[in-house]
Amino acid sequence: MAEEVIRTVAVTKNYRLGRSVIHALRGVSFKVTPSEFLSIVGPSGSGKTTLLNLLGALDLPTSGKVFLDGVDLTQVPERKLYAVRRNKVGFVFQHFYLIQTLTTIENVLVPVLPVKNNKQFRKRAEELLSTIGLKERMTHKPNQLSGGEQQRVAVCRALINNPKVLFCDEITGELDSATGEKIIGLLQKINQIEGVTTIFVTHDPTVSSKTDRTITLEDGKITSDKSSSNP
Amino acid sequence: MNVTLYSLKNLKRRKLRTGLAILGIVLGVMLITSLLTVMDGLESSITESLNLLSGNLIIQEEGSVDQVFSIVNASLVEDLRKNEDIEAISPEIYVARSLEASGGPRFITLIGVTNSYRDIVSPEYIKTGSYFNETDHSKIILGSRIADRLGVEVGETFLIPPMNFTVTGIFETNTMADAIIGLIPLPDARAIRNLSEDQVSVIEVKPVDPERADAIKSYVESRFEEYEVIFPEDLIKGATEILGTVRNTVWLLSGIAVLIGGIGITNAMLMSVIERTPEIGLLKATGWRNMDVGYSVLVEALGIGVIGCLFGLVLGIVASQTAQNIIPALTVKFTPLTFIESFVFGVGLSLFGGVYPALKASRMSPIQAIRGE
Repeated sequence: MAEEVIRTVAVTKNYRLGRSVIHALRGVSFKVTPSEFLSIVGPSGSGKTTLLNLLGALDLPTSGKVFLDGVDLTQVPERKLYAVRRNKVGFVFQHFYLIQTLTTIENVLVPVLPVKNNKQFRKRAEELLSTIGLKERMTHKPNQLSGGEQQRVAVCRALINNPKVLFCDEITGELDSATGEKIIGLLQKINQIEGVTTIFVTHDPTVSSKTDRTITLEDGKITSDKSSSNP
Repeated sequence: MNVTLYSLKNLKRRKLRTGLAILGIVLGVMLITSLLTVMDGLESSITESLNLLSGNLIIQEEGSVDQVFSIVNASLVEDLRKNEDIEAISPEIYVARSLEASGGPRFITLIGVTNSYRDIVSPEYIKTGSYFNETDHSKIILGSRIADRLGVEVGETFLIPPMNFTVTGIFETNTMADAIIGLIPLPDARAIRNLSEDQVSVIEVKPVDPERADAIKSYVESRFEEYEVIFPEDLIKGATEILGTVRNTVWLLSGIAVLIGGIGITNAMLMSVIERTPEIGLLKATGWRNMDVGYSVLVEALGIGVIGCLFGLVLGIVASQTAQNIIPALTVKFTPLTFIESFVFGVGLSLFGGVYPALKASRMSPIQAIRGE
């Protein structure tokens, strides 16, 4: 068995919406090897974000299995899932969700606030911020930063816990294309430096064109899985 | 930085809302503190009166509501001298007078006394100056607080219509008497009241042994139907019981005030939690436990409570001190226990007010919360 950081087996997810049941995922199986830089694309309602939520331990599938770093998430009780989120994954969202009262570096440290003896993370935060070019902005508040800078802070926040996998949900959605491309470039650099597996969920073709592998979801199923020879 | 500090920083986000929630607690705690310090003052004043009276009895006309309305025949004094249970006898005439000095106390109770008054009060009764002689005229011994309020000292003269009185001494008992009573020679009181030579208001007696008080009472009441003997202690005990009831009422009413403050906190925190739903979703998505989120909300509620209680305590003290300045007969007493009680009560209710918002925040699903649902 090849080394893998993510494996899903026949994953389905149904939602109840009023009287009808929505089949968001209808049997999704794939693997991701460590340090991959891939994107999941598809039209709205194809199940991309649902899949991301399952991979990131935010939600549990209706049936099937999700393995993350060797752990079967479907066997983890819901109240213990926080530990997976805290230790193994990082999220970047379309909206930055920075906390306005906190400085840049404090925002980066938000995920580890509940961790005891979290002083050790400060150095990590400083390193991340200087890697991403925000060293001079550490004590700024979010409203003093541009959209691109805010999204870069959110990236550092997602990486503070040295995650195995970084999930990026439509992260260029609120940025202009130049800024968006710059962010993707930075994430590519971090992927190379730190080897963190990076998964984008996007409908932006310029994002998917920069990833090494593109999985296409349609109507809750994988319809294509292509590795690009020209990243 | 940790969750506690993060939560306290959250209080600064909506300053007006936080401020109003704090104000709700401030008012409740202020009410509790000021009322309780007044209650403590009344209770201790009454307890001290009890010690001061040291078992004196008052013989007055049957059914008199106040000593001022009582008239007793002075010849009774001779009769009482034959009773071996009585150590000292003081005939007294009560006069209620209003004062015209603006801004000062408006009423004074004058008690006309003879030299035998010295035998029924404690040896430390006079604080400064000295007793007058019963044959003197226009002399007065004032209670320490009413003297302060009038701004008069020993040796000075002032008018209580229709006479000018010269202060010979100041007495202090640490009771309400200090704020309302002045002692004058018996003949002066008799002249003001237009009483005849054989009339006094009451006769105060000191028993040889407090245990014999009942014997004195039956001695007097069996021989003179028109008189009654009262034990001021009994009155005070009755008053203490009433005060206990009043105290419970104070707790109930100001408790409701603090409860309303607590509901204000629930409201403020609930709005804050709803407003920050996506943020709470993010916190959970990044690995905060439900209890971390709940704890954070509780810390905010507690922050509001502690700030509110501190200000409430200070303002409560200021309020009761001001009340004492306005109403001289009011004694306030500051006891640490009362402060601790009000503080703990206020903080407890604040924390209680945070429980529901905390539960609501901690139970949010990260996916739904981050979409703002």
